[in-house]
Amino acid sequence: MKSIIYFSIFLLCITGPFVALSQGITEGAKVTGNIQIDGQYYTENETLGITDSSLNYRKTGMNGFANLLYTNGNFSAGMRMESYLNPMLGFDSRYEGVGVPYWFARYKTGSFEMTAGHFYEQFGSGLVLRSWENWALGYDNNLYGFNTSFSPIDGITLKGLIGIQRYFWEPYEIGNRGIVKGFDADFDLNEIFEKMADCQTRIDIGGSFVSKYEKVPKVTYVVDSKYFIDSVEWNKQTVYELKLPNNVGSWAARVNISNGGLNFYSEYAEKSNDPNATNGQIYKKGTALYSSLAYSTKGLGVFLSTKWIDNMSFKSKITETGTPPMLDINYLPAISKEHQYSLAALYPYATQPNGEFGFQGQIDYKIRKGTTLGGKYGTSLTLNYSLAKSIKKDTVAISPITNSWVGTQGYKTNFLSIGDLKYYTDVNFLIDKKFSNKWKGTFGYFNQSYNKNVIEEGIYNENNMVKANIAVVDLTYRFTPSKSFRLETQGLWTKEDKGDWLSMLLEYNISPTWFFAISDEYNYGNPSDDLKIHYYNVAMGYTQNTTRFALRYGLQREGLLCVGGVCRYVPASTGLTLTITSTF
Amino acid sequence: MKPKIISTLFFILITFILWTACEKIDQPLKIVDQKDFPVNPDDTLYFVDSIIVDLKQVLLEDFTGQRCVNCPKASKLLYEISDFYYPRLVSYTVHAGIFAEPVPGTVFGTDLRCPLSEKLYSDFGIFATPMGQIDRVLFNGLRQIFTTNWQSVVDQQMQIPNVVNLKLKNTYYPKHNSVIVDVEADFISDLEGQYNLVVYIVEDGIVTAHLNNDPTIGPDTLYNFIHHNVLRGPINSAYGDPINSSGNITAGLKFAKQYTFPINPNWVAENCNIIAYIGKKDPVLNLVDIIQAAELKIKTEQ
Repeated sequence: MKSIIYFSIFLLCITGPFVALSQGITEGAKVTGNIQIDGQYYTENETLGITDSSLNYRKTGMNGFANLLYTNGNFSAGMRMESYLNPMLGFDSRYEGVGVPYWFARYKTGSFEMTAGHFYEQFGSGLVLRSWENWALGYDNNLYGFNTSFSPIDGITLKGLIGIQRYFWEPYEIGNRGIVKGFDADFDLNEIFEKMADCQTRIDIGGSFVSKYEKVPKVTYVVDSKYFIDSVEWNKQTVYELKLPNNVGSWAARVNISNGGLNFYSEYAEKSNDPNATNGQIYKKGTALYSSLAYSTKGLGVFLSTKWIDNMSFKSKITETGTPPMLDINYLPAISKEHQYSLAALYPYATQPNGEFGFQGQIDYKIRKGTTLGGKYGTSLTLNYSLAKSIKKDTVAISPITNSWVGTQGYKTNFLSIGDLKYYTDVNFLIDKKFSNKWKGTFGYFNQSYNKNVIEEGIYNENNMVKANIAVVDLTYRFTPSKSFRLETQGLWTKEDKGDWLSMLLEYNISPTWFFAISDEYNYGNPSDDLKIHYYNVAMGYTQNTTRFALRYGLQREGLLCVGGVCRYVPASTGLTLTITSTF
Repeated sequence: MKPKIISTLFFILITFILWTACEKIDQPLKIVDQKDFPVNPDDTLYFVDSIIVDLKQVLLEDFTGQRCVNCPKASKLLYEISDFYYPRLVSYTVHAGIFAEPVPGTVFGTDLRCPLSEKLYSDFGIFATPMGQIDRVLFNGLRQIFTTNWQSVVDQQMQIPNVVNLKLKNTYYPKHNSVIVDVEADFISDLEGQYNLVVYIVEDGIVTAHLNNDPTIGPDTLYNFIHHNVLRGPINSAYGDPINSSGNITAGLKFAKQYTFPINPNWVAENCNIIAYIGKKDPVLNLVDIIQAAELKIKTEQ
C-alpha cells in the first residue's frame, strides 16, 4: 500500500508542473501495458499425495500482474501491480498479497539518463550484477533506488546505481538485507578513437564494480576445555566472535571483439571474502570466468562457450537460501541448452555457484534446398553438447573452534582447474525438415547425464546419476493456411530415478483464434506400480485481438523448472488452470 | 577534451569509492571472552577481591619459632612498624630452625613449619631467631637483619621509588576450598637483570603457646599467643616464575599469571592471605632485592 501512495505522490509531483502549465499530460504521450492472470482450481489426488492438508486447505491459487508504461518524449514512468491470492502451488508463500512492487520514473536529457524507483540492470554478462525477473520462475530481484547512465563522449557509457533488492513484499529494514552499489564503464574503442572508426574489427571493453553493505549479525562460538585440579573438574571457556564483513565488493573486466560473423566475448570477475549460507561461511575469495566464441555465416552457425566459477554466490543477505534463490546480486549464466520439449527438459541443469566448470558447443547447419539431403525446402541440423563438472578443491583443515569450515578459507583451488565429478552432460541432435507445403517435422535425440545428488540435494558424489535417452518426433500438418494439426511424441528411457516415460500431444490450431490440445505424459517405467501415472491434460485457447484466454485441465507432474540455470521446484498438482493475457 | 577529463575523474573517483567498499578479513575468529570456572554448576559460587599496588611496598620476612623467647618482642615490633606504614609493609613469619620444632605432648605440640620455611631458613643461612630479611637487601654486608635495625632498614626501603605496579586478584570457590590467584605486573621503569614473580600463601591468627622473656608482653609462656601471617607454602614455587628471560626489563612491560590453588583443609581459609612479590635473580641466593610486594586476604564470604 505504501508503494502505491509513494508512486501516486511521485506521479503527482512529476505531472503537476504539466497541469499547472495547462499542457495536458496526454499531449504527445503514449500509454501501453499488458496483463496476465493465472488462476488455478485444485482437486485432490490420492495417488499423487495431493490432499486438503497438502494444499493447505486452499482450493484456488491466483497469480497476476499488470504492467503500465507511460512515455512522453524523453520522460517515461511505469508500474507493475502484482497479486498472489493465493500464490499458486510451487510459488513461495511469502508472495501472498497484492501491491505495487515495481514502479519507476525515468527521464533522459542529452547523454544523461536517470531512473528513480525500481529498475532492472545488468553489467556485462551479469557475473557481478544482474537484476531481473521471470514471472514463471517467481523470481524478481529488482533494485529500488537510483540508476543513472551518462555518456560523456561517443563510445563511453558510464553507469552508476544504488538500491535495495526486492524480497517478496518485505519492506527494507536495516539488517534484513543489504544496500547494493554499483558502477560500470563501457568503452567502444572504435567510436572513441577516430583511427579505429572504419576498422572492421570492433573492440569493446568494460569494467564493473559492485559492493554490498549489510548490517551483519554477531556470531559467536564457545569452546570449552576441561581440566582437573586435584579432584575438581574445571572448564576453560573461550568465546570467539566470527567477524563477518559488512561490506563485500566485487569487480569484473570484460572484452568483446567482433569481426564480421565472428564474435568473441570474455569476462573475468572476482569477489572479496563473503562468508554466506551458500558457501558454508568460508572466507575464500570468489572467482569467475565466462567466455564465448560465436561464428555465423550463411547456413552455418557455431557457438562455443565456457565458464569457470568458484565461490561466486553473491547475495544482499548472507543468510539467504532457497529455491528460487532470492536476493542474488549477480547472475552466473547457465551454459546448458534449455529445451522446449517437456521430456527433454525433465532433467534441467541448475548452476552450482560454489564451484563449476562448464562448456557448451553448438553447430547449426542448414542443408541448402535443392540438394539430395536438403530437399525442396532445405533441412536444418542442430548439434549441441554441454558439460558441467566440478572444480578441483583441496580442502583445508576444519576449524577446531567451529568444528567445521566456517571461519576458514574452506579449500584451495587452482584457477581453471577441473575436477573429476560430473554434474551434467547433454548431447542432442535436432533435425528440422519441411517435407511439403502441408507437412513439416522436427526430429530430436537427446542423451543426458544428470547428477541428481549434486543438482537437487547439494551432495557432491556420483551415487545418483541419471542417464537418460530421449527421442522426439514433432509433426505438423497444415490443412489450410489457418488450420493445422500437430502431433508431438516423446520418449524418455532411463534405468534410474522414475524410469521410462512416454508422451504424446495432439494439437489443433485454427489460427489466429482457437487452439485445442490433448496430451498425456505416461510414467510407465516407474519402479513403483502405484506411480505409473498418466499425467493427462486437456487444453483449449481463444484469442481475440491482443487478448488470449487459455483453459487447461489435468495433472501436472512435479519437477524443476529452470530458466537460465535458476530453478524453482514445481510440485505435482491436479485441477483446472485459466490463463488470461492481454496487451494494449 | 573536457568531457574526457571529467569522465576520467568521475571514473577514478567512483572506482576508488567502490574499491574501498569491501573488507578483507584475515582472522575471522577472534577471542572476545575467556574464563575459568568449575564444571559443576553448584561450584560456581565464588568471592572475588583485588588490590592494585602503585607505591613501593616493603617485604619483611620474620624468621621465628614458638619456643624462641625473644620472638614475641620481635613480633610486637613488627606490629608497630606495620601499623606505622600501613598498608605498605608486607610481612610473613617463617617458622624454622631449632626453636620452631614442635614438642609433642606439650603446649608446643603444634608444628608451624613447612618445607618452604625450612628451605628459606637454610638457603639464606639464618643462624638465629628472631631474625629478619627486609626486601632481602644487604645491611652492613649482611641480608640477615637483627630486630634492632628493622625500623631503619624499613625506613630506608620505603624511600625507594616504585618501579612496578602490582595487581593481585583472589577468586575463592568455597565448594572446593580453592583460590584462583591472578597477578599482573606493570613495569613503569627500565630495569637491569632478570626478575621472578613469587606467590605465597600465609595463614593469620593461629593461636598457640609461645615462650617469652619480655615481662612487658606477658608471662614466660604465652598460652594464647596469636601468630600472624604464618608462611604455609608457595602458590607457584619458592623462588617463583621468571618474568623476563633476557637481561633487561623495559618500561611498559606487562606480565600476567594465573594460579589455581586448593587450600589445605587444615588451614582456616578465611584467615589466609596471598602474598606476591618480585625479586631479582641471584646466582647464589636465588632471589634477592625485592622491588615490590603485595598482600591480599582471601575473601571467603560476602
